[in-house]
Amino acid sequence: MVSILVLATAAGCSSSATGHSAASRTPNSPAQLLPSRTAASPIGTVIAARHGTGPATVALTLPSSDSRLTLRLACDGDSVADLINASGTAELHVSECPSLGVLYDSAFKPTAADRTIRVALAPTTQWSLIVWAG
Amino acid sequence: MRRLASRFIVLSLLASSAVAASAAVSAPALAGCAPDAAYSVTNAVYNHKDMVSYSSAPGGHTLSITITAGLSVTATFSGALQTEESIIIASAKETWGLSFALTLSASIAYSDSWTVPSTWAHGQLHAGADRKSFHWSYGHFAPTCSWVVVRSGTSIAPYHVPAFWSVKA
Repeated sequence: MVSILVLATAAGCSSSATGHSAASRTPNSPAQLLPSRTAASPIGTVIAARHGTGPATVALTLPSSDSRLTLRLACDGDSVADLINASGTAELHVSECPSLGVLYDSAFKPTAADRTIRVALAPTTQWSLIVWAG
Repeated sequence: MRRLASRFIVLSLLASSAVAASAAVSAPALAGCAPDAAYSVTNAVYNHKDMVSYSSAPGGHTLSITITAGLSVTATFSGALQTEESIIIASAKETWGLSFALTLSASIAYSDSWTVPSTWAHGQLHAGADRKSFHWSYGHFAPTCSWVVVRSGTSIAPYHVPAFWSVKA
């Protein structure tokens, strides 16, 4: 019924925004066209790849304190989705999960609290998570 | 008075099927003005439409969204006959020089990323389509050369995919 996309993509860049509402809009950056669904991965190596249905906790082994962490989530179901670290910070929030075929990335410098990532979503929501470090 | 016609996009041939039911339009001209039928589009205002759910993260995080092919966005109309929707779109194209369409689809995959400013508590990254909302009207000249509006309404029509934008949350 649901296929979980495990895609590796290259991301472009866009300028910062200054607005506070949906009406405030940044200039569009040139969208990066992907030659295929197997385009380049985020920088680093995959340290976790999980999928499932409903809430879960994923343990991560962070290679060094200087590593950059990239969380990639795909999900399908009737709920919002959050990737929350041990200190309760949502490292990524997706407003609604019926987004089959859409990949959401969040890249950041991790802290010790990011050694576990809690996948918070509805019990029936299917998800896939890939984590890169590097 | 006849100069008023220059303000309108006259699409008589295209419009003929759409206006067949309008007796007023098909009435012969009795005086100085022929009953030229025309569509007018005015008051365009930009907006954007999410095609997928947005994501958000704290300041300093880099958010990315990849949307794959097959997602689409469709124009909406109020007050219009279905048969004249394409004529209204054609009028909008002619008036503003943008690639308006009844439906726009993402034909390939697109991706964009954006770093939430570190001074922000949270930021949102959205992906969707550029659109304009506008007022449209269909009318004709009366024999007295006054302009008679037969139908009018509003439309929101897409003209570009993908569009990515970010919002402070």
